[in-house]
Amino acid sequence: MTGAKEQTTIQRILRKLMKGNISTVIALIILCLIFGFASPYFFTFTNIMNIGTYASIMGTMASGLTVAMLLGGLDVSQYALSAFCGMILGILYENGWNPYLTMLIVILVGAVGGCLNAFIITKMHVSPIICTMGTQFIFRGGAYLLTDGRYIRINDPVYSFIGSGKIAGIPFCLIVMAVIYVVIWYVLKYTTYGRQVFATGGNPNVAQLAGIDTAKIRFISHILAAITAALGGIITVSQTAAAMAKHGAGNDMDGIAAVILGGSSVGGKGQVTGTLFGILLLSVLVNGMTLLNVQAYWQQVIKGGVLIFAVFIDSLRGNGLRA
Amino acid sequence: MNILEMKDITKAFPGIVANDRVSLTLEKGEVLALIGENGAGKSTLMKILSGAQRPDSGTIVIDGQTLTGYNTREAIDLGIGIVYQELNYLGALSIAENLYIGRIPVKGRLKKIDYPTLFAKAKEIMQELGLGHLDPATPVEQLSTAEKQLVEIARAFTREVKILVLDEPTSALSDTETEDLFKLIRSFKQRGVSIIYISHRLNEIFEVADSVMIMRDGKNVARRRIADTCTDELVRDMVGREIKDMYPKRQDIAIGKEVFRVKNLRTNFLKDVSFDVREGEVVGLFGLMGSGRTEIANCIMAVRKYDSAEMTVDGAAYAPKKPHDALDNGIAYVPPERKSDGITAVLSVKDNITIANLRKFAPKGIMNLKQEMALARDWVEKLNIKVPQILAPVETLSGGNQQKVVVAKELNTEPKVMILNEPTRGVDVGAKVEIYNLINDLCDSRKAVLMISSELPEIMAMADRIFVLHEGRITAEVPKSEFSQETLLKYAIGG
Repeated sequence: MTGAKEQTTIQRILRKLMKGNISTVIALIILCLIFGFASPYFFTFTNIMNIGTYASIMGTMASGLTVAMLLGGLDVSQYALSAFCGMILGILYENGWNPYLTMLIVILVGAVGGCLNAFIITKMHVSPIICTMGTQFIFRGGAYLLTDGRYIRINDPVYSFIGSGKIAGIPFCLIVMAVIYVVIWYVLKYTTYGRQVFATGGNPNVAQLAGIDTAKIRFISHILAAITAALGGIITVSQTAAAMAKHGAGNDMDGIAAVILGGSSVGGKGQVTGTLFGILLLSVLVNGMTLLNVQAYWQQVIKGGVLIFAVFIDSLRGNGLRA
Repeated sequence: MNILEMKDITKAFPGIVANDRVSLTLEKGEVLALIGENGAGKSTLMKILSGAQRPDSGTIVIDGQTLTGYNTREAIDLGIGIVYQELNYLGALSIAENLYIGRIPVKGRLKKIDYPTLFAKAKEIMQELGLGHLDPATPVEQLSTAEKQLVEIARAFTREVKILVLDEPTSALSDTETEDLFKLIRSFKQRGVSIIYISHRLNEIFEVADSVMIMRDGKNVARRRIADTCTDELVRDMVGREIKDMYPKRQDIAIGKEVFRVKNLRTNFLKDVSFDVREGEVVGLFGLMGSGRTEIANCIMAVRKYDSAEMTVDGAAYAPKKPHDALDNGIAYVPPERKSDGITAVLSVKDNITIANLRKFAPKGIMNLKQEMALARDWVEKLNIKVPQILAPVETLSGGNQQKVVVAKELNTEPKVMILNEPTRGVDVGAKVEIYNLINDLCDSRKAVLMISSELPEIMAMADRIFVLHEGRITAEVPKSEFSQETLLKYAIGG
């Protein structure tokens, strides 16, 4: 009898730990400890800021993606769209446009791309994964077509500040990302739009009967995902000082992985703060492996393994650790 | 001799002890009714029996064999068959395939499906179970709800069941279909199959069961022989207190002016449906399954398009384009399918209650969360909703409490007209009475109530007038003085 009781207490503690995104947080801490021991360089301020710089692109894009995924949707076209937006930026730069105006236009272009996704999904009733798989090819192809595959070097103080500038030692792009997260966190928690996102993702029938225009909510969220993709494109171009159509190719799933790690893989369940941890986990993993000279190809393999392991933990959570 | 002995079964979930030293014995060929309010622990007990959940302590002996593995495979091998309230079938597959799924006969080295044998075996069992008129090759999704249910029972039967558990098997059945099911149960009994029959409908229990076990708050409170008990006693056992009046009387209040009118509502199915609801009045809409009850509600809520209709709310024309318009015009709707249309399972009690009227605490799109919390607490208190905590996901509540959350959500929109579609479906006795009381309160606060129900005793007790529906047409408007089961049924079958 006491044996049984002890077991349940342990189970209870385990269950508590598994709730929320604690498992991702624990994985993050463990990874930090391992890398910290293995490399004296890992815990230096410079390196931590490096991690932040690396995380900012994926993080910015994943913030908008989180909203789409909370709705039970998906967007796999983000990286392709960000490359397309980057190319637009490059072309405008070549033609001597004012950088601020350029960025505004680039964001608008992103929003239009999002409108395309949203239109196909909500009006043509194509499922989000199929729609964005299709537009992914369109955006990527479009990015190549814009310059026939030629890349454009960027040399401008405004962009280089976005890419590598610092305020009080903190990379500017990281600050941009932080601001976006605060905004989206606030929107999700305090605005009626945010609540309607959770409601629609949780049960669209109920949401509709509650008077929520679910199509509109979806529409907005896909535009949001696309705008964050455009912002990601601006940061990418700024960091690499070049607009390239192949930017982000092969990383298309990174943002989705981060959102899943952050616990927002089921409609109506999750938070943008979870995504933040997902982003950190992936970024620390890549950074640490690079410090330890793990071959790039192996990095991919390990990244995949970590994702599956985390989702496995997730399924344990779901089943409440039943044997 | 006992075919099943469950002894001192205890199972705790965080925050609740679902089963507290529950014991259950079942004789060979016995039909045992298992009753209790939602959340009493019946489902948990049956899940443990089926191997879907492992008890914290206790033992289960089936036909002399003690369960050790607590997995579904073991339970099936020992002869336990369960038909859940929510049917589990593979719609696109044939009846025969559904019956033998997992054990489909094959032939040859490539293990091709042996369809002739499969269909022959299926036909045989179907004939035995009164499904002989159906073709075993028919996809299950083409069957009626009752037929689907019988297929599920037949499936349990293809595996030599010794103990068959039926969880609310009649909740979607008509009276004649229920009769058929009872015949089936009696024939099982004769073959020595023991049956555990879970139901909220006490009259059924008296018809079909030998004995009854009552659960309350995770404990078994009593076990009685059907011959020695009566409804009142069972209700008292279940609720733990006396329920004086199943259908509480409304205070006499004057019925006021007309609030809601539907005139000549037409779709390809509905034919010139007209009715009206007045202030402080409960108007019943009665009809058999498929008569168009829910379709009418869906048209009013603009979830479904209609060809033409003249509707008015408080005298003003009402022509909804989307559900939002219904809410804007003061019409609230409690839908019949709680899980798919009523609650958002993953969201909290609070979020569920407030979602249909966020404007109340977010005038400019920014929510005042403190105000929201107070509002939700208010409703939880007012409707006596039992929740572990207000931020718990709604899926953790019992059916009755989930239903109250749905009602609270609709009341929170401050409607003039409340449409209740099967408001007590799958809800236990105690919660039923509370919902009836709520309906009375609505009348007291001079709202107009349209109540759609397929339960005759309920609609007769609650409604002031009843409109009867038959195949998309209103066949009669019956005033309270003329209510009788015979009259209403006569109109419902088109007489």
